[in-house]
Amino acid sequence: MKASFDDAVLDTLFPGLGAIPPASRAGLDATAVLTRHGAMLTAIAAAAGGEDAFVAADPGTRTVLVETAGTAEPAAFQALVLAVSALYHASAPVVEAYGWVARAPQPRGFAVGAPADVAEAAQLLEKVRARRQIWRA
Amino acid sequence: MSVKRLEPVDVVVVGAGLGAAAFTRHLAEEAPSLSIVVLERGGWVDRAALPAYQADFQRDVLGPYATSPNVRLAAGGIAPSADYAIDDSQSDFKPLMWSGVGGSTINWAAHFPRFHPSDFRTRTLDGVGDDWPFTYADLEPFYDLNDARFGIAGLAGDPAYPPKPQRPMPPIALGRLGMTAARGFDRLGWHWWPVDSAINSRVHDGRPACNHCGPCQQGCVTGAKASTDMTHWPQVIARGVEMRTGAVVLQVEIAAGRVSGVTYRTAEGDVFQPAGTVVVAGNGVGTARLLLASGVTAPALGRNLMYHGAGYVRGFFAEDLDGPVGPTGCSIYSHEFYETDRSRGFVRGVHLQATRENPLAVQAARLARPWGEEAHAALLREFRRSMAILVVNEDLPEPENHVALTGETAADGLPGVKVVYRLSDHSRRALDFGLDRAEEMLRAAGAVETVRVPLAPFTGWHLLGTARMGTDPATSVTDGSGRVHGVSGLIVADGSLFTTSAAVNPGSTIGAVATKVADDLARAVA
Repeated sequence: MKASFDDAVLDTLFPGLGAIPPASRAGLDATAVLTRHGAMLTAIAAAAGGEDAFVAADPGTRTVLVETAGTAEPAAFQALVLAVSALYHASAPVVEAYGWVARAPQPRGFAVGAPADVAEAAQLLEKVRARRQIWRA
Repeated sequence: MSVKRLEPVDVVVVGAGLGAAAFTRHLAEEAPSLSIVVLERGGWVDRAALPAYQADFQRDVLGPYATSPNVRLAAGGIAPSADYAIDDSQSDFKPLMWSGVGGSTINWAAHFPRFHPSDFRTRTLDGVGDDWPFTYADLEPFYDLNDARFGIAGLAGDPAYPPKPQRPMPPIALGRLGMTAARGFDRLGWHWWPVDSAINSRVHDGRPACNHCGPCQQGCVTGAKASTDMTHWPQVIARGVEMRTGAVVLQVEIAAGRVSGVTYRTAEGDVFQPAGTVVVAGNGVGTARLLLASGVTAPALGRNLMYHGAGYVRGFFAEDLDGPVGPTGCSIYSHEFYETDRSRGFVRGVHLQATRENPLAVQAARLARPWGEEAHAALLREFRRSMAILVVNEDLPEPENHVALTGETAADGLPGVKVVYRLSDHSRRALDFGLDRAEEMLRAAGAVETVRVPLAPFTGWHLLGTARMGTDPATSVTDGSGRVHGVSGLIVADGSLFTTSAAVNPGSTIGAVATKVADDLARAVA
């Protein structure tokens, strides 16, 4: 039951939406995070009356149960959420579902700016230059 | 434990960050006969190991390569930065830094503005803070020298400043985000200008041009962003200065009102390095910590901690604004409201700065409710379509904002350290004014929605004022040459020296002041 419970918690925190996969299907290796935040998971299970009961609950009820446990332990809950969030939002399926590229920033980097920008910026700055001095001596 | 005693040297520099690098480079050039040793608690960065080469780099942004040393320590630490825990539970802002060769230039944004002339005369002009012991004109040659050593991309002719030398490189590309912000400022008739960046926009000084990869604050893997492990220390070491890494200075040894050297800890044991002059440059937290631990009794030591007040407004746009690419802090800024206008209800001013978007995981972590379906909806609305206008105000020196020792011994052998800081009513008024202007600009630029973040706790980069310069030993720690009052041979050369904070990033001024301090010492020993 443990794996199902972990997946149920993960999917309650980060459910799917359209092309965005739920956390249990985003390829996360969340074992270490869930172990580190085990006390919070225990609190969520306790709020539901046990892991089985949490797994058996419908998504709306799970959300309420997680919210209840999180309200009782706000700091621990925030730590769990942010730790899972970092894994989830760095996973390739999620990054791509948000319309970004799932690759290292280097060595390719990214192109920024359009050829016309320099001329437009120079034109806009003429008005600023015309103000001469706005600093106080 | 026995302490190994080394042969004396002329100068020991504690730290290898921005101030230490600017100081040492200038001193080594101007007084080449001096023997100089640099003691750095951390190590050298291995650029090949930095997160930007990893597809899952975002995880490191929020963990071992976070900008907060406390967060890094909680994530297990990262070897080149010899972090120490800072009790920031009583501070509205959280101290951010890097404790290795290069200091916080490793993970800074490299936004490189100068102070305005008025920033050095706040008491005379506006009746607040204190005047610095020198003026902008006095510091100007050192600004120029410092700019040349870092390498600046920018554009001359900004009417918000006295004339500056032609920059060797054009500004970093503004991109969709910068151009959108520029049009917004333009529609309101407000000042704006491309920032001065210590980031190469072209190949310069043996380093490549920026390729806009994004995560500047986890270290620049290409070397396009200036950091003193590239721009200063190799040149300094080539001149014969010795750099010792993994050296945690425990105490500046002081007897009968003058320094005799420093005691530091290495993996092999404790060492006493005799020296005629000790220069401390460990930033506004580390310098105060070491001097307090060494028994320096100046009443202002550790007091008047200034970070800069900071908040921001996020604007959401209908169109794509580039996404998480380009140097985070280097786009455009406005000093329309920088100088005092008493009709605003406060004196001094605010700096408005367009900042680029963060990676998806960082954006997600900042949501008001960062989980559940609502989080997806919020993130879909803002990712790739948001711009933050950062508002920075001049944080005035207040003695109750301070750095203090905790009374316990920390893991590194030094006394533990804490920061106590509350945002003043003055800063709150200034920030609120700036946030109003930021909203106005974002609307003018076409934002369909704005979200106000009144206080940004994780902006505590600027650790200033805790060993401030001045003429009165009752209210300052050093004189205008960085020499500690009443302790011969003890000098400070970092942002701790700042008498006031201005309302802009301090890196350029830390470098200029440290260069001036070195120049004064070189003249004294000539």
